[in-house]
Amino acid sequence: MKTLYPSKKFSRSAILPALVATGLGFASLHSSPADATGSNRSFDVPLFAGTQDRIEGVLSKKEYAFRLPENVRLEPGSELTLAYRSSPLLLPDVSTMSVQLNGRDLTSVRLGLKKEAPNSQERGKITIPLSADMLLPGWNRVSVSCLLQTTQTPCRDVDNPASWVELDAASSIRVAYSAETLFPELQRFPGSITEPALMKLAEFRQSSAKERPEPVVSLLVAPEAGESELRSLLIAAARMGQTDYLEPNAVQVKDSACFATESLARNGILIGLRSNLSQIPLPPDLQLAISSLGEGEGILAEIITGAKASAHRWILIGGADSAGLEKAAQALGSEIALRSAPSNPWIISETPAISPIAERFVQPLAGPITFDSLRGGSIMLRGLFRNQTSREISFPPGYETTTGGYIDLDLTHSGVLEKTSAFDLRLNDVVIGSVALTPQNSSATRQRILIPAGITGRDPSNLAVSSYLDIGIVDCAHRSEERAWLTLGGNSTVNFRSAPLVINDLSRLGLLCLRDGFLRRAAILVPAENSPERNDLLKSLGIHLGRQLSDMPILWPQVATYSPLLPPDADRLKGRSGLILGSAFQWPTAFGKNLRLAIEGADAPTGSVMLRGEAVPVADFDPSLSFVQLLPSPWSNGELFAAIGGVNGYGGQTTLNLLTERTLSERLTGTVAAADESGRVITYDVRFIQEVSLSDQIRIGFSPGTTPSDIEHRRMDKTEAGLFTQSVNYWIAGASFAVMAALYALQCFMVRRRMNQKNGEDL
Amino acid sequence: MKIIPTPLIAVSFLLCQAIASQEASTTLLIYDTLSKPYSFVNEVAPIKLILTAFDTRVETRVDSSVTPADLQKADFIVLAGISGFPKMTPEVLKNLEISRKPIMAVGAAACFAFDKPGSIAKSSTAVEKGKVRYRGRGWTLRLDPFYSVSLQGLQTLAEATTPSGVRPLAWSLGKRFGFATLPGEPPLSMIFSDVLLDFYGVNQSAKPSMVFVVEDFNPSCNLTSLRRLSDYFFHKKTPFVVTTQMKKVPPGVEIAPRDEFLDALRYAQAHGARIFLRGGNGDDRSEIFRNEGIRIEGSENTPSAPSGLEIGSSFLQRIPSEAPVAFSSAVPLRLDAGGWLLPPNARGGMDGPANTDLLKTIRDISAFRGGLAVVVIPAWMRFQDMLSAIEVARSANLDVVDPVTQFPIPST
Repeated sequence: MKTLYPSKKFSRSAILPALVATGLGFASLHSSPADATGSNRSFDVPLFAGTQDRIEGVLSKKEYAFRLPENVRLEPGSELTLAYRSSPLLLPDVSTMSVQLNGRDLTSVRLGLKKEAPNSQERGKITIPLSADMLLPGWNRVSVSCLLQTTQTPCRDVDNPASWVELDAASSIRVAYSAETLFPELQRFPGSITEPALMKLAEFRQSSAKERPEPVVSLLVAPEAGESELRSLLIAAARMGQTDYLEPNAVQVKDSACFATESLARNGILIGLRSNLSQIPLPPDLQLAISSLGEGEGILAEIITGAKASAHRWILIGGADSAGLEKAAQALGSEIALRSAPSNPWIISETPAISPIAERFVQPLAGPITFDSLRGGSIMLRGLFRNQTSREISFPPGYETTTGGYIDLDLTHSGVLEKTSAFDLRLNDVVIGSVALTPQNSSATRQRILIPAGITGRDPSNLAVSSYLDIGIVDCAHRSEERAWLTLGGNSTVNFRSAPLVINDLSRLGLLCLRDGFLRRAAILVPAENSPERNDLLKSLGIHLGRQLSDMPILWPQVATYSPLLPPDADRLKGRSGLILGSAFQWPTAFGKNLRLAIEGADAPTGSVMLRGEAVPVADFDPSLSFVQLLPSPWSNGELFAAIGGVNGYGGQTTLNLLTERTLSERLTGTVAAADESGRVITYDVRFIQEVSLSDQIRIGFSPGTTPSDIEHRRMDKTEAGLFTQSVNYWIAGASFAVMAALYALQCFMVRRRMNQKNGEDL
Repeated sequence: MKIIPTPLIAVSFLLCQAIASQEASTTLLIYDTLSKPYSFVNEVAPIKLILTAFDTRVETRVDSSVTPADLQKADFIVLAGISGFPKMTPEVLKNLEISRKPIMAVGAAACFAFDKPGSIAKSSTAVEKGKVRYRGRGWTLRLDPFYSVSLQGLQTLAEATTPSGVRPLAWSLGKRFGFATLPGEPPLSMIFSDVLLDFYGVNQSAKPSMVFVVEDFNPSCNLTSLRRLSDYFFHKKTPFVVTTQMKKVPPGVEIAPRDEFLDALRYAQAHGARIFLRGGNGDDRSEIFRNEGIRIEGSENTPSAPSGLEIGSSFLQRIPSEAPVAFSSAVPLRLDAGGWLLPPNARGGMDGPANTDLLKTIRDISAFRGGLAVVVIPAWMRFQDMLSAIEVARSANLDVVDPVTQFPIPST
C-alpha cells in the first residue's frame, strides 16, 4: 500500500509542535571521513536538545521529530540508540517502554529493578539497527511510550512523581548515508540550499562566539550593493528562514568576489547586476545568458559546483539592471513561481503574479466554517488522562481577533468520565475556554466558547484541544482506552471576528513587519553605506522573518537605503511599515530635518546623543546599548516604523535580540526602549508625561549593578504604585463627587425651604 | 511506407527504416505441430509474434497443407520443426530444396539449413546449462530441444557450449539460416529476433538505446518526487515517459489535490516528459488531461488513447485455457493497426542486487541490433530509489531516446 508522506503543511501541524516542545538538535557530523564516492558516511541526530529529557506520568508518551536531508541517499547501517535511567520504584513486571519510528514498532523493554537481581541498575541502553527504508528523507518521528507503574494497585496517580524515565544525551539516531548526485532543483529552494545544515544543526545551536562553526550557506553580494541587491539578499534570507531549522550563524554574507573559493566550499546564493556578474567566473553558457539579458530582465539559475563527493549548489539571482534583479528576486521569493520555473537558467521579464488563490493565504477566515472543512476534520481524543491535538486554521499574521467571535462545539463524550475530566481550547497558545465534562453534556451537546479579542494571527495558526479524561479506577497494565473519549463533531463551527492588526506601542515590535503574510507591507530601511554588520543584520532579520512565515508561499519584503546625501526612495516605503536600521546618528538622515526624534545623535554638542532634547555624551553609553523608538511613517498615513540601533553602530547582538528574542521583546512597552546585551530593558512612552525623564531612566536602568530583575521589579513597583495612585485618585474623585452631590442636594433643600417659607407653606 | 514531411520525423524514419524495409513482403511460416510431444505449450506462437517486429505479412501453414503455390507466393520461408521435421509432400519438399528464397529452419527443421543433413542430429538432446554466446554477450540457460551441428563450413551467428563442445546455435549457409532450438523464451527469442535481421537482409543501423518510463503516476504518488525527477532529467537533457491515470487510486490512500497533481504533470511535461495514459479500456480518458493542457502521447498496457504508440507487452496464450502471458522483446514490435509497441523489458527501482540485475538486463538488450531497453521505474517509489535505479541504468551508456520522435506513428 502506498501512502503519501505528510505534506509540508501537514507535517508541520503534526510534528512541529513536538519539535518545538522537545527541542530538536542535530549533533555534529560523525567523524567518519568521506571516501571518493561519498559513501559510508554517517551523522548523529540527537533526539532532543540539552543533556536530558524526562518522560513523566504513569501513562506517558513523547514524540521526537527530526528532519533528514533529501539530497543524500540513506544507506543500511543506521541505528537508534536510547540511553535511559528510570525511577528505581518502578515495578519490573508491568513497567515498560516501547519505541516506534515513523509508526513502526521498533522494540519494547521492561523497566524497573528485579528483586532477584538487586545489583542491576536502573540505567539502560538499547541500540536498534534500522533498515534503510525505515528512515525517510524529510520528517521522521520517534515515539517513546511508557507505562510507569509503581504500585500493584490499579493506577490512579497519573501525576505520581515517582513515575519517570529520563533519556540522556546519548539517545540519538546514527544515520548512514551516501552522497547523491546533485542536480539543479530551483523549485526545491530553499530546502535544496540549506539542507546541509540538517547534518550539523547542533553545532550551530550550541556554538559560542569563540567556536563559530563553518557556515553552510554563503550569500554573496558586491560591496557596492544597492537597494535591489539588498532586497534580493533579504528575500533570499527570508525564504531560507522558512526552513525552520536554519540558524542565522549557518549563513554568512560575503563579497561576491569570493565566488571562486566559496563556490567550492559550500552552497550559496550569488546576487548581482550584469555589470558585476561579468567579473565572476561563471559557466560560459550562464555568462552568455546574462550578457543576453534585455532591459528590465532578470535571471534565476542554479548551478552545481565541484566534484560529486563535494558538490555544492549555487543559485544566481541576477539582472540586467535593478528592475530585472528585483524581478528575479521576487521569483525566488515566490514558491509558486519557482514551482513553475520553465527552465534553468530562467529569464524573467515580468514580476511573478499573485493569484487570487494565493491571496487566500493571507486572508483570515471569513464567516463560519465547520471543523469538517478544516484539514483533519472533526476531533476525537481517545485515551486515559492527557491528550492533545490541533487543527490549522486560516488566521494569518497581520490580523487580530476582535470581540464577537465564538466557537460552537458539537460535544460528545463517553459519559463514564469522572468529574475531574475536562478539556480546554487554545488559539495560538492562548486559552480561549475550558469545558468540564459531566454526564449532562455527554451526548450531543452544543457548547459555545467566546473567542477573546486581541489574539494575533500566526503562520500557521493553531486551534488546539487538550483534554484530561479520567474514568476512575483503572488497571494501567490492562487499560481500556475505548471508555475514555471525547468528540468534537465535524459540525462544530468556528466563527471568527478579526481585524487588521493595530500596533500602538513597542509591545508588538515583532509584528511590525508582519502586517501582511507575504511581507509586502514590510520595509527595512538601512544606511546606504556598505558594512558587514549591516548585511549580516539584514540576513539575520530575513531569516527571522521567514521563520515566522514558514508556510507562506510568497515573501516579498522591501529594502530602501538612506544616507545624508540621498534620502530614502519614498516609493519603496509607501504603504509599508517596518524597521529603520542604523545608529542614533544615522536615523535623522532617514527622516529629514522636519522630524525630531526622542533619541537621536546630535551634531552639536559634538559626540552627544539627544534624549528628548537632553544632550548626553556618547561616552556615557554602554557600547552594547541598543535603542528602539516607534514612529509614525512620514511616507504613509497609518504606517509605523521602528528606528533601532546603537549609539554608533547597528547595536549588534542587542538589536538582534530585541527583534528576535521573544523573552526580550515581551518586556517592551511604550514608544521608546533601550536594552543592553545583559538583557536589561527600559521603556518610555513619549505620549504621556513621565515621572522620570528618559535620560534618567536610562542612567538608572543601566547603572552598574542593576540587573534585569531589578528593572523588572522597579517596573512592577512603578506599575503597582501607578495602580495605587490611580486607585487613590478614583477614591478622591469619588469622595469629591459625593461631597459635591451632597452639597448640591443640601443647597437644593435649602432653596426649596426658602421658597416654601416665602410662599407661606409649611415644610 | 509513407514519407512524413516533418524533418524530425524524417530523421526518425531513417533510424527506423532498417527494421521496416521489407514492407509488403510475405513470409510463409510452415510448422509441423504447435507443441512438442507431451506438451501443451504452443511453440509456434512466439515465432509468429517475433516476426511481427518486421514489416512483413506472415502466412502460417501446417506442413501437410503447404502447396508449391504457397512457396511461390512467399518471399521468405520459415520452416519450424517443433516435434520433428515438417512432413511436406515430396513436391513441396523438392521445390523447397531448390528454392533460392531465404529460408529460416528452426528446431527439428534446422538440418534443412545444412549442406550435409546427415551431420546434424535427427533427435534433440536437452542441454541443461548451455552457455550461449551471441554478439559478445553470454547467457547460461537450458536448451531444450537442441539439435547439435558441427561448426564445419557454417557461418556461425550464435553458439552454445554444450557437454559435447561448442556447437552452433544459429548459423547461415548462403540464403539458408538455421536455429538449433525453439525460440520460446528470452533470451533465445531475442537472439532469434536478431538473427532474423540477417535473414531479412535488414541493415539495422540504429544503435541500441534506452527509454525511461516513470510508471503509474497517480494522485496517491508523491508529487515532489516527480517534480524532482523532472528536474533531474531536464538537467541531463534526457527525455522520459510518465504513464499516468486519475482512476484506480487504492482506497484509504491520501491523494493529492487535483490541481497539484495536474501541476506536477504539467511541470514534468515542460521539462521533457512524454505523458502516456496508463491502462484501461473504454472511453477516451485522455480528454480529461487534454482539457487541462496536458498532451497525451500514447498509452500503456492497453490502448486507451488514440495513438499508435504504446508501452507494454504482447500477450501470448501459449497453453490453452491458461491466462495469456507477456512476451518480452528486445526491440519495439509493430502494432496491428500501425505504430509501435515499446517493450517494458527492464524493470528497475529496487535496491542493491535488483539494480545490478537491472544493469545486466539493459546490457543484454544492448547486445541486440536496434535493441531498446525500456526502463520502467514505479512512480510510487522513494525518490532516492528512483534516482538510484536511473543512475544505474544510465551507467550502461546507451543513448536515451525520445519515444515520440524516435518511433513516429504512421498515421501522424
